[in-house]
This record gives sequence, C-alpha cells and structure tokens, in this order.
Amino acid sequence: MKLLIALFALMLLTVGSASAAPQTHQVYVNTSAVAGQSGYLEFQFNPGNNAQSAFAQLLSFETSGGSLTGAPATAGDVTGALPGTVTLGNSFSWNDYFQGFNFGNSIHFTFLLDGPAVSSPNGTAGGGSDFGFSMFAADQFTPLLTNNPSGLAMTAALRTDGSTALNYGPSTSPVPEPSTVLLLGLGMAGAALWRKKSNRNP
Amino acid sequence: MRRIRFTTAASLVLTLALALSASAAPWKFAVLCDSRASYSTDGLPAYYDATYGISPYFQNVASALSRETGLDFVLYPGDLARGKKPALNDTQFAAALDQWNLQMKPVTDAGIPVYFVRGNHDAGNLAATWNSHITIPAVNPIIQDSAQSGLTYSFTHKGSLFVGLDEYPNGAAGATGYDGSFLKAQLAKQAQHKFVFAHQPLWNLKSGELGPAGLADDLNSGGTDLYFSGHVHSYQRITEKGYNFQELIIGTGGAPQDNPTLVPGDPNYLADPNLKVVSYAGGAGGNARFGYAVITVNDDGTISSEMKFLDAPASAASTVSSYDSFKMPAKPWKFGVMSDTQWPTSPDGKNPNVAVNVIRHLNQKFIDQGVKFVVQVGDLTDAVGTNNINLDVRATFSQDLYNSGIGFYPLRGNHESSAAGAIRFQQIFPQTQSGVNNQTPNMVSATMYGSQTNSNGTFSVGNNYATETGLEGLTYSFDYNNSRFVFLDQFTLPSGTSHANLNSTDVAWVGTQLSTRPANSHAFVFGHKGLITENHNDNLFNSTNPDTATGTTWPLTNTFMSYLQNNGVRYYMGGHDHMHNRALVTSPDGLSRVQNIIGASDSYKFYIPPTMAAFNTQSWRSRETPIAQELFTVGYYIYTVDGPKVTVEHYAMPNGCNGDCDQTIDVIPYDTVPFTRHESYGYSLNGKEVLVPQGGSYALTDTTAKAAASESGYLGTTAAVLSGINGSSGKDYNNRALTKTVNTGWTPAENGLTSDILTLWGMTNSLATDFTDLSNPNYHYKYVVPGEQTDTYVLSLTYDPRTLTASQLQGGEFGLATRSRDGRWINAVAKNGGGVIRFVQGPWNAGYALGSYGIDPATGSAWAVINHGGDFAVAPFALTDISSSVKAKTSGFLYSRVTNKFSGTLTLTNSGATALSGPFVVWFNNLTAGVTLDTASGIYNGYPHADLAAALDPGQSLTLPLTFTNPAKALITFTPVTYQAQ
Repeated sequence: MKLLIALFALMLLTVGSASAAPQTHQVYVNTSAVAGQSGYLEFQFNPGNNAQSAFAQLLSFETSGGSLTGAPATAGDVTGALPGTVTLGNSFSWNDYFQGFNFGNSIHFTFLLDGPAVSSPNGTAGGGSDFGFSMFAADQFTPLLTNNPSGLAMTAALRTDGSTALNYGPSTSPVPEPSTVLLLGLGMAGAALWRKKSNRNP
Repeated sequence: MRRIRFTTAASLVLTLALALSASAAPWKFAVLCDSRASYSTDGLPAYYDATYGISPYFQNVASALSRETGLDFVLYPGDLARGKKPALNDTQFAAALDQWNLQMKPVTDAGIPVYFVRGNHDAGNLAATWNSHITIPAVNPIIQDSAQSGLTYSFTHKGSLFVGLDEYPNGAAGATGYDGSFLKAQLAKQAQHKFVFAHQPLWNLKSGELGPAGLADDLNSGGTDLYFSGHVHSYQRITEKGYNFQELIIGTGGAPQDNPTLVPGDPNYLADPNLKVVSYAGGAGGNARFGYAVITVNDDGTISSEMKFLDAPASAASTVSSYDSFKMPAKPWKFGVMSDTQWPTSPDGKNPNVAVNVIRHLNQKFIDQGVKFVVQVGDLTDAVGTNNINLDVRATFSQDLYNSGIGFYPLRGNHESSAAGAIRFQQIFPQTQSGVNNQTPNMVSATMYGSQTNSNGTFSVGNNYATETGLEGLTYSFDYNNSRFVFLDQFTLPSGTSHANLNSTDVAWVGTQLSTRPANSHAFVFGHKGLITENHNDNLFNSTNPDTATGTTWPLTNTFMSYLQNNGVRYYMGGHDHMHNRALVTSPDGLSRVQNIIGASDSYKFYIPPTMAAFNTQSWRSRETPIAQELFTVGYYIYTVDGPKVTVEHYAMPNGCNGDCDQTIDVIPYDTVPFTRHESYGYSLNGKEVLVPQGGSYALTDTTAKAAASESGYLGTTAAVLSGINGSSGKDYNNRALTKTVNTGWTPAENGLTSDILTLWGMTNSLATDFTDLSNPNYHYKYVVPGEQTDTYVLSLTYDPRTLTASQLQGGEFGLATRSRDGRWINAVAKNGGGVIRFVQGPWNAGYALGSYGIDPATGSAWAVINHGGDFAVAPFALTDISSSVKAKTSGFLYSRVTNKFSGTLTLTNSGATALSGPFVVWFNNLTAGVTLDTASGIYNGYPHADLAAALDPGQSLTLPLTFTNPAKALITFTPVTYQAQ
C-alpha cells in the first residue's frame, strides 16, 4: 500500500510541477480532414514581458501521408529545418518557422523546452514564453483545423516558475511520454493490487 | 479672594480692546520667484547678465509689481540671481544680491515688504552672505528656526500663518531637505489660513526637480491652504489627488523658461497618475510669460488667486493681464458649544461652584479639535457668589482656550441672572462686545488648581460686533467668516430693570441682526432656555410654560421663529435642561419650524423629561417633532462650517450615575471612559431637508440649481434617492417615535470629478432610548448610539459625460464614489457594512442587492446600493498602488497571421496576506514605442490601462487577455503597475 501511494504521488509530481530538466512533449495532429490539401505549418516561440531566456526545439517530425514542400520562411531567432531539428529562441518578439506542407492523415512531432527559464527560473521575470503551432491553407492566412480566433491549433505556455501549461485544440492531442506511460501503468497495477487486497479483508 | 474694582485702567483696556476690534476686510499679497539669468553657454542672450546673473526682464516685473495696489507684502521663494553656478564667489554673490535689492527697490519703496527663502542658485554660496544681504521684514514678528536662522522662519499676518522653508540644509549640490520639526510646530498653530513657500515644487511633470520627500505629507497634515514654489520656470497650478491643498509654481520672475509641457515618452516626463496640472502658462522663447500672482484673503474665508503677466516684458511700463483667476472655497472651520457648568458644593474642591474639572477636560477637547471659539449657553455658575467670585472662576478657567488662541463666547443663564451678575459678565468677558479675547481682569488663583498662566497675548475673533442697547455684551452678535452668531440674554438688565423673558425689543433686535447678515451666510442663535424645554416648562418667552398668556407669548414666539426661519437659522441651541435633545419645533401659528437643540449637561445635574402623566398634559408638546434624545451624559458639540455646509458632531460620555450625580464625585470618569461621537447631523444652505418618519420613504430628488444661483463652478448635477425605507424604531424617553431629518448639500465638482459633490446627512438611525431591557427590575435608563451604517438605500447622481471614455463607463473603476477618511474618492459601496461588490452596466433595478453599483449611460447617471451617508460624487475611484502585494506576470505573446496581432495574458496574483477588493486597474507604463495595447480599457496621461472589476483573496489570481498591435514586431515590454481603484 505504501508503495502504491508513493508511486501515485511521484506520478502527480512529475506531471504537474515545475521541472529543472528540459521539458519534452509529443504532439499528435489529426489532419485527415484536410488530407490532400496543400498549405502551411507554423511553429513560433515568443517571449512575454521581460521574459527569461529559453528556447524550444522541434524534434522527431513525422507525418503519415503528408509531405514538406519548399523552403521554410523564418523570422527572429530560428535555426535548423524540418524534418531535422529546428530551434526557436525567445530573444525576438516573433521567432517563427513557417513551412509549406501537403497535408496527409496525421502529423507527429516532439517539442522540447529548455534554457535558463526552464532549468533555473529566476522568479523575477515579468513574463513567460509561449510555444504555438498553427496550420494554414495555401493562402497562408486561413487557419485550418482550429476554432481559435488567432489560428492556433496548440500552445504551450512556459510560466515564470518554469512550469508549462499545455493547451490542445480539436485536432491536436498529446502523446504520452514513455515515462508517463510507465508511471500510469504502475499506478493502475497498484490500484488493482489494492482492490484485490481490500476484497480479501472485508 | 480678590475683589474686582472696575478701575480706570480696566476701562482703558476695554476702550483699547474696542479700538482693536477685528475688522476682516479682504487683504492681499503677491508671490513670484526665479529671476536668475541664463548661462553664457545657454545661447539665450536675451536672458544673459554676465555681471550679476539677474534676468534683464526682472526689473520690469518688479516695476509692474510696484504699481500693484493694496499689497500687504510679497513672497519670493528663491533663485534671485544665478549665484555660484557656474562660479560666482561670495563677494560677487553679495554684489548680485545687492543689485537684486536695487532692482526690487520700486516695490519696497512702495511700502511693500518682501519675504524670501533661498533657491538652489542662492544656496551655493555662504548662508552668511545671504543673511547679510537679504533682510526678512520685521513688519510681523518673525519666528526663526533656530537651526536655520534667517533661512527658515514663520510669521502670522492678519490671522494667517506663513512659513518660509529653506530646502538646502545640505547645500545646493546635496539632496533637498527641510526642518520638519520646525514646520510641523508652526503648522500646528491656530490660523485662519496657512501658506507655505519654498523653492522647489512638490509636484510637477518634470522629473528630477521635486522638493524634499515628505514635505507634501507634512503640509497636508498641517492644514496648509496653498504651497508656493518656483524652480521650474513657468506658472503652474497643480493638484495631487489625496492632498487637500494646491501648489502654485510661480517661477515667472524673469528666468529663462523651459518648455515643460511634457508628455509621456519625453525622457524628463514624470509619471504621476494622481497629478493634475489645472493651469499652465509659460514656455521657451516667445512663449515666455513673466509676472506674479496676487493672492487675496477674503473676509468670508475664501482665498482668491490671480496670475498677472506682463503684456510687454521688455518694457518697464508694461501693463499686466490677468490669467487663471480662481477662488478657493473657505476652508472648513469649527466652533464648539458647551452647556451648563453649575456645581453647588464641592467637598473635594475640584468644582468650586463651577464645574471646573469638567471645563478643563472640555477645554482640551476643544483645543484638540482646533475650534476657533467656544460658545457656552448659560449657567456658567451655580450662583455668582460673593462679589461675583464664581463668575471670576468661570472666566479664569477659559484661560486654556485663550492660551491656544481660541475665543470664548458665553451668555447668561438663570443661575447668574442678577444685575450684579450682568455687570460682572460684561467686565470679565469683554470679547462679547469687542471681539478681543484673553482679557480676564481678575484671575482667581484660590482654587485647588492654583494660578492659571496666561501664555498668550490678546487676540481677535470675528468682526461686526453688535449688541442690544441696555444689554451690552449680554445680548450680542458677531460674524465669523460666513456666519453670524446671535447670543440672547433674557435676564435682569445691568441697570436692575426686570427682564425675565425675551420681549418685543429683544425680538426686534434679533430680527435686525439676522436680516442684515451677509448674503449666503449662516446664522446661529444661542440662548439659555429653549424654544420648548424638555425638562422645564419655562422657555425663552415665558417663565411658566410656552402656552401661558398666549395673547402675548404666542405672537412673540411666532415673530421670533419667523425671523429664525426666514433668515436661514436652522439650529437654535440652548441649555437649561441638562440633557441632549433635538426636536423640530413649530411656531404656534404653524408657519415656522426650527430645530431646537438642548445641550447635554456639563455639570453635576442630569435632568429627565416629565412623567408621562405630566407630559400628556403639556399642550405645547404637539408642536415638537422629536429627532434625537440622550439622558445622563456629559457632552459637547463641534460645529464644522464648510462653506454652505454645517455639520454638527455631538460628543458625550456616560455620567456614570444614571441621574443626578453625587456632588462630591467627579462627573467624568475620564481615565477610563473617553468622549465618543454619539451622533452627527447637518445641513447646507444650498440643499434641502426632508423629514422621514419611521416607515417612510427616503425617496427624494435634488439638483444643484439652488446652489448654482449663489456659487460658481457647478457642473449641474441631479441627485436622487431611488429607493429606501426608514426602518428605524428608536423612541425618546416618553416613547415618542423619532423622525429622521435627511438633508442634502452641494459643493462644486473638484479636480477629477465628473459630478458636483452631494453631502447627505441624517440617514443614520436616531440617538434613542434603549427599551430592550425594560422588564429587568434593575433596569436603568440606557441610550442607543447609532452606528455608521444606515438603512439600505439606492443613491444616484448624474454625471458630466464630456470627459469620459467608453472604457471608463464600462470598466467599473468609475462610478458613484464617496470620500474616505483620508479624503480620497473611493467606490461608494466600499464603505458599506456587508454586501458584495458587484458592477453592473445599465440602470438600477429593484433586484440589485447591497453592494451593487453601476453606470447607466442612457440616463447619464451612476448609482449604488449603499448603507451609509457622507459625501458622494461621480468619479474615477482613487488609485492606490498595490504592486508590492500583487504579482503581475504575462504569458508569452503569440503572433497571429489571422489578426496581425500579438496576444497573450496578464495574470495578477495576490501575494499578500490580506484580501484585496477591486476594481483593479493595471497601468502598462513604458510600453514599447510603436506598440498599442488593443485591449486597454483606456488611455490616461499617455499610458494604457486595463481594468478588472473583481476581488483577490490571498493567493488568488486573475487573468486578463492582452492583444497588442505591433507593426514593427518589436519586443513587447512594459512596466505593469497595479492599482486598487477605490
């Protein structure tokens, strides 16, 4: 029983608290509704008011049925290109990676948040930094697969205490990380054990 | 005991006193400063004087000033010459000051003294050089600051205090400072008005130019009327929210002028959300304005100011033109009233026929309250005593008041009704004829209190003294500021002629005094006996009862009361009954109605109303509408006159013995029970009174039309009590239900308000008898002191929409406001007892609970559901910076190709330990140039702000969305400052 509680607490701590380690999130995007259309993908990572330094990295970009088209357009502090690693700093107001794309059934990518704002939040910053993902039609203006008025399909807000708040739109969803899956599995196993033990001691 | 001899010398004193009788004609003085020249490096040849460092324009300003008529003196707060900057040695500085004096000679030759303090340019050289070449006039006695002799000082002129402050104790190069202890000591003095002059401003929009920290607060707490300064070369009239005085910057003596019309973004711009430049003149080059301000102290207590600029600054014969003429309303002032102080025997010696122990305590209360004078409504003694010694005792123990510059104005009661008493009264209280106080001819030292020290000279209070022939100094009147005071004597004449009640001659005299008072002035009438008495039966007109000999008593009463009513006398006040009682009394003919106030006892004696059986036989009771009553307390009254408004506060404490006290003991258990305010009431000359019986509606409407007919500055506002019922059930000792007298009054809109100011009195419950414990066999009389909260009611005021933005109307930080104890305008619902604060956009409806407030743009009115009285106006609520206890953090700002905007959020978190009630206003100071906050609630002084109508418990957060237009995609940064808008 004690082990179960400890594991459960560990799981909660891992999911909800600020972390000094880089934060990695996997995102699944269901693009089947626009499969066959050409358009654009946009990734941006922008600072708030007097934000502490941080960066976002796009890793492991994959698509099912889709394809990257043309050269990306970038603004601000951006290096790299998909499907390789793309790094977006937060030293400019707009750090943006804009990539042509033929939509297939899905997209899968990982993004990592790191830098001093994550590893050692100073507590004095006036604002955090936000990561945003959007999809646009070929006109580069009409947002796809979102009801967000700004066209955002998914965001991650890096707060001034180093924690992150994720917000997914209707077409996007998180992909559980292996460690989270492991913890969840342990928790479920523990719960089953507890129930079994309870049944033996009415 | 000494015997009084009314000697020739005493006659001379009285004659002299009469000659010295105060006459409060208007008088005036001028203010200007900053005549130093430019530097050679300034490139301003027109202002440059290589030899003396004095602006060439100054001599023309001085010439114009010398032609100004009627000036009593000039104040010059600094920067006479360029001084040590860049390198004037002390010899050269002395020559510069001599030259300045020469250029100012036309003014001094015109008989106009000049008072100085140093500016920063004067402070770079030796103070000794300054002192040896600048002479502070000795026209008025100068009180020097021993730590800064010749530099910081004060003087009193015609009853008003002037303090000249040196701000450079650390030298010109050091931080500014001042002698706070000297300043506070001077401002603590009694004075009709208080003016302070020093070189650097307290407030202006140019950074790096302000005077010493803390000075504004000291001036405010000291009751300063006006602060004069210079340093920034222009004319500016500035108010700062939360402060009760104005600042006049009059740096117009000829020095090269800045262009201080600063706007946000200028590197020298000093952001101050509470600052308002009411008037400004000046500027570089051809916009320069040179001149002086003329300040007039008017006899009604108001202060007028007029800036006079030279039409041709390059000409010594220049005419002047008026600019920014304004009039400050009379500062509120107070007088005190006390009642009967007889005390027949005093085994412990504390109260030798006179309640000296009570008097001494009341004196201190009156001193603490800062009253200008004290009225006593008769029965000064239990009996005048052998050789009138007891009257001498009473006069002796006025000394504490005299020593504090407070006048004392008594009248006789039935306990000193003899002719001998009348004569002695005239001798020992000469001020009732002359206005000159502190002339007690025969101080009594033979009491346990010993000799009383006279630490003050004679002083005058009021003006226009008049007295009835045959009752000289006994029935008398005088004026103080905007009020006429009439005192009645109904006892034996000094000649010995019988006189037991007011007669037709007396009444006619009163009528004349009231009808000849200045326009728009108050009138207060005092006598010993009441229009109707509450314990006794006798009154002003009859020794038996008010309904005796009706053939003569009633016509006299009718005439007297018509004089009172028709001349604006709202309160007639007497004593005699040794209880606090307020009632509206209607004249026998039913045509006049005046509030009759009976003063609480200040003696050993505490009366009660007659028994119910007797009471029910008293036909005159039908002419009484009881308002409030309290038995068995010692009390006093503070009247505050604020222009057309009068507020009376009744302070009292239990006598501790539920009836007549044992004469051997002290009445006041002052070590354990303090005086507290038991009730407050008032009226205004420009308002209306509505009687609201129990169960009656408070509904009323009033406008500023009547006020605007006699006073200027009104925006034009309508007030309405939309809903509310008098739910009180208080009764007096004889079980009569107490009626509320709800009064309105108006004051013109002040800085930052969008309506005129409504004062509402009489909404609280009445001071009543507590019958809740009546079944208790050990029941003793108890009274119920009303609390601050009232019945719940809805008040609305119309507002002037011309200065409002749509966001202000919708934000909730603007609306019906009330004045806080520290003078700020706060959300009216914030002073409620209970309820939940909630903003509503739109009209009031009956479903809205206590704490709801709103704006109805359709009718141009602000409303609130409240349960308190006080002052009300429609205003932006005062902003209190709470940034230290509220964390303001943003998210990142994501860009949208759809909207072409950057968006994010701002989260406010209460990091303190106490709950914060909103609304809140967040200012986005120093927002990146070229970036616009689209979601701002408004723009003020160039800074966008966002408003939230909410509350924050400790640890709680609020999030508001932010959207920016940022065409250059510049990094978005700003300094958030969070205010509580209450």
